[in-house]
Amino acid sequence: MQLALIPFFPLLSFVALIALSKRLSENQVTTIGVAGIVLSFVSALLALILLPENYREILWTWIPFYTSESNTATIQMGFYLDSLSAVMLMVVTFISSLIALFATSYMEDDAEIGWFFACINLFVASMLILVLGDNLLVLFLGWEGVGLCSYLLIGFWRNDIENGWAAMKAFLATRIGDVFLLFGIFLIFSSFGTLSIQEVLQLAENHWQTGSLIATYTALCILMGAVGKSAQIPLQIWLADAMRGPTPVSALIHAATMVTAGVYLIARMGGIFELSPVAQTAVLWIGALTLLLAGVAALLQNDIKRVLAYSTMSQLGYMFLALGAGAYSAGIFHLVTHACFKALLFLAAGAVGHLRGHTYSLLKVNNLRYEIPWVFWAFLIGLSSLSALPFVTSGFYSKELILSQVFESSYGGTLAWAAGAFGALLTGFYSFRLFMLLFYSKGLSDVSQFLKKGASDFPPLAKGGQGGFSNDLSWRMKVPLGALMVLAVIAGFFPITQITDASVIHFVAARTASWPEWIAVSLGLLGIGIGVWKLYPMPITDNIWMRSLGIEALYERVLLSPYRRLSYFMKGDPIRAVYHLGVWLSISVQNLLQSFQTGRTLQYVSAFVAAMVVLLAFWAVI
Amino acid sequence: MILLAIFLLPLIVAFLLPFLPRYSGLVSLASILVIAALTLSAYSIGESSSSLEDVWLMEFKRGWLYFALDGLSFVLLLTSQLLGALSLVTVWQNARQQMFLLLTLSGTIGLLLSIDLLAFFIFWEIMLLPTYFWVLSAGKEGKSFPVLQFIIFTQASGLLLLGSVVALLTLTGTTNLNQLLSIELSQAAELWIASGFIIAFLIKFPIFPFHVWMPSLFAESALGAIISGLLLKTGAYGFLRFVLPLFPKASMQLSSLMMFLGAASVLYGALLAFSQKNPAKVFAYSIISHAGLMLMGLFSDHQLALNGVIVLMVTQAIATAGFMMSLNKHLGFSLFFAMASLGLPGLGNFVGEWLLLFGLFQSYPQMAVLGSLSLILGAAYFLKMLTQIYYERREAMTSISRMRFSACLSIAVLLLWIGLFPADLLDLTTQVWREDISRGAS
Repeated sequence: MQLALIPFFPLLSFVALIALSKRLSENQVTTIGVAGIVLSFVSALLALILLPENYREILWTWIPFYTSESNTATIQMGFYLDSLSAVMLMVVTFISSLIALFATSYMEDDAEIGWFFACINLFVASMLILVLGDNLLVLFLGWEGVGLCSYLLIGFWRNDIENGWAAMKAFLATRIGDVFLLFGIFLIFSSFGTLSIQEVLQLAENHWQTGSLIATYTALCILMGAVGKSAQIPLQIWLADAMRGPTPVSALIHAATMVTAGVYLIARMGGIFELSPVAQTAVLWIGALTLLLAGVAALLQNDIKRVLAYSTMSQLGYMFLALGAGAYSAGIFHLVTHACFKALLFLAAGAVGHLRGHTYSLLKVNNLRYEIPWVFWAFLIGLSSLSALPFVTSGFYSKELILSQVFESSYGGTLAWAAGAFGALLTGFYSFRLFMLLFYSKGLSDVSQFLKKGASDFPPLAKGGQGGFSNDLSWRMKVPLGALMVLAVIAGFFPITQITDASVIHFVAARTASWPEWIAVSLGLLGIGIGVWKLYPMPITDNIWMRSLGIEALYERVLLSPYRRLSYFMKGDPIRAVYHLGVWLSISVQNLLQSFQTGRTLQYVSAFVAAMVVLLAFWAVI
Repeated sequence: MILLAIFLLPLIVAFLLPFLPRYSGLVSLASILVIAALTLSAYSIGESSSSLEDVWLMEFKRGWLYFALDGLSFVLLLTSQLLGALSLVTVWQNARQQMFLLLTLSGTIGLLLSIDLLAFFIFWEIMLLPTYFWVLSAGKEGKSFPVLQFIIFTQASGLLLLGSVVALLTLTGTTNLNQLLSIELSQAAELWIASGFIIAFLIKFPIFPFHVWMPSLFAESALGAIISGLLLKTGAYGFLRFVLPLFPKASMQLSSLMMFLGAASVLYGALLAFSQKNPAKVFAYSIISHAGLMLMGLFSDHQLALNGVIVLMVTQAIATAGFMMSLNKHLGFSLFFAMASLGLPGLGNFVGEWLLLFGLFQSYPQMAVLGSLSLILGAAYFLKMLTQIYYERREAMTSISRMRFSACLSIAVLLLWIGLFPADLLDLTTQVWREDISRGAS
């Protein structure tokens, strides 16, 4: 039962909050809401310490299959703990605990705070079921649960229907991926008669040829599932709009749950991808393409959260790049460090929103250097880590690991590496553009002035509150921010040797500084430099880059709009018309016949005589 | 005798209701509970006393009135009794409608128990009689057109059924299912007779393009919705019980046509559900869409798909009933039931859809791809509906009565139970499938 306890606590909190939310005070609600996740973290920690490696726990038989040959195929409800799920467990439970604590302050006085914490707990529980699932169907259970919770939380604020459409978009885009994943599961189940992940990987290795069609189909189906959840091209359209949810939710989606699910899935099913060079290459290039395009898109946003959203997309692209190159541990390593600094960045953004009336537009919120020092330091550390500032940040180690492994990999090579290195430049650029706008400018209107005078002549504004807003953060915000600041720096030093074939420490110490690494590092620094010094006004008009790279417009034109039009055109059920034609026919025949029924004897007699004549003539001819 | 009692008790109580106006709700509920208990005991008695060779767990035979119970009819009996009890909640104050409800329930029970085709036909007609009156009395003034449509369509389906039964009787000299199963018909005869059955059941299912009567009736009232839940299942049941075992050759022959109709239904229903404003109509068209999926499952010639169809029959009926009961009354429950209907794992419908699609995938992969579109399109129309309910019509919520609340809660628990522990249900229905196949083969 030890493994089951991990998702059990948040589930329990969820049920308690749903059942009792109306009778609980706000304090009780937040206590229950945070306790569920913290207890889950504690039990995960205990499980890691106490349980042997590769521990499997079967709870009950979920779906029995009575295939005509034998009765043996069943799908168990069971969990499995190995080093990969252990890493994910730690990331999910620890970061979610911090986010939940932050949210207790952020969501203060919200009328539906009970519902909020219920959803958060269900979200975490689903994610835990996803990473712990022993077989693909249990994984799918968590997978869909994550989708449901993202729908509920993105659309949490019900005063604006746009929030609802954004939530729906997230669910639908990921659902398309989910159906592909479902077919991947079908392919696996019909090939092997089992869905247990460990068995499947074993069987696939033994029975499927490298490059065989079935392996490719399966891997591509799984890839599409991952692409949907991890917001990669071409299913990335939902992520930026998902920013309409409360900011702790964004932090949860971007750091601990949801988007990491796709990366986890590919790493988990790596054995199948290795059998299909086509799928492996697809993973790599989807990652490369996404990291570049999302990097450009992040450069062109005027909203703090949207910059961060596109940066998540871009960083996930790095993880896909690593997975595609076969560098699973590097990808997971980047997932961990990214979770730390992205959670930090979103919580810091949440603090800004909290203190500035939920405004995230860079045109309105800016020049915060001396107003909210906590936010300043959080952003500085988070963005440095994001742009892989050498040696002192965690992001540096994971990103360099990815780039060097991609360079050496047979799938990757120079071109993929170059994409990643150029992405590093973009990352530094958009990160520090955001940083400068947020802390050292008086808004974009002042940017031209800034450019004329030069940075040195541009004095920071005097200390003091802006427009009567408070600048005080409660301890429930400061603790998570502080913890994540520390993590964003040191997460790179953790020896996650369990998952990495080469220890990170070892990597840092023993690597020979070859030219690709120097180039990547200097490109990153160059990006930061451009961001800091070349602060030129970014297009603030509505352009396709702001709206999901134009792919969304394509979908709208090719798929959605025709579907909607056809649907509204057929709204009244055209098949009815066919039946109504029948009704109309019988009514008109009736009317026609009725018109003969005039009641005049003379007409009847003449009609009768005429009919007789015709009939007699007919008879005579025959 | 128990089987007869299950059928007769609601019938008798229905006619007693006018004399007990004050306690009619309680009496009706009690009678439904009693027959549910009787059904359960009939099943357990039958299971302990019958041997493995027995086709039926329990039988009752007086001439053409030939009742028999097996796993399939047991599951569906319990489902219809549950639906009956639920719809009772919506008409707790209205003795006349309770009477109609009990009569319909009794007719449905008779239909589910009948093994003789003549009796099946008679109950098929009887079941509908109270519905006419019921929907007429529940519907608003001046809205008799949907009812008229309903009558014409169901009468047409009844006529086709009668024709096929008579043809079968003239050819074989019997209407007893047990005997019919051992008689082999010529290919042509099988095809003609099967077509009559199939069209009759397709109308009831309802499948595009025979669905026209359903959405307007369904949207008439929550009652209409639940009662159609009761009636609609008889279409799928007819396929499982009669068409597939009796006409194996014709089923094979017609399977591609049925696949086509099923896929058309899936897409047509989903497309129309998307543009409906009224949540009841969204659900109505979603039923057409899901019916298409079930039809594909029925003719997929795969056991898992048949299992999936049976699970879906049960879960879809109760999820729909739950949704209609909580609509405009409780946000959480309507969300839950809509999510169940769009196949969220962990809830009952997912198990059915999973089995169905997987079975379909094994025998007709392309069709499974088409069918799986219903997962995406279904999410589209359900979420559009939910978004409109949540963000635009929040003020329209009225408070939910305690009775309705507990009814919704029990359906929710049941859906969760089926979703997480479907083994019990699958055990029952698998048994059925084996019997059907062995009978069909012999």
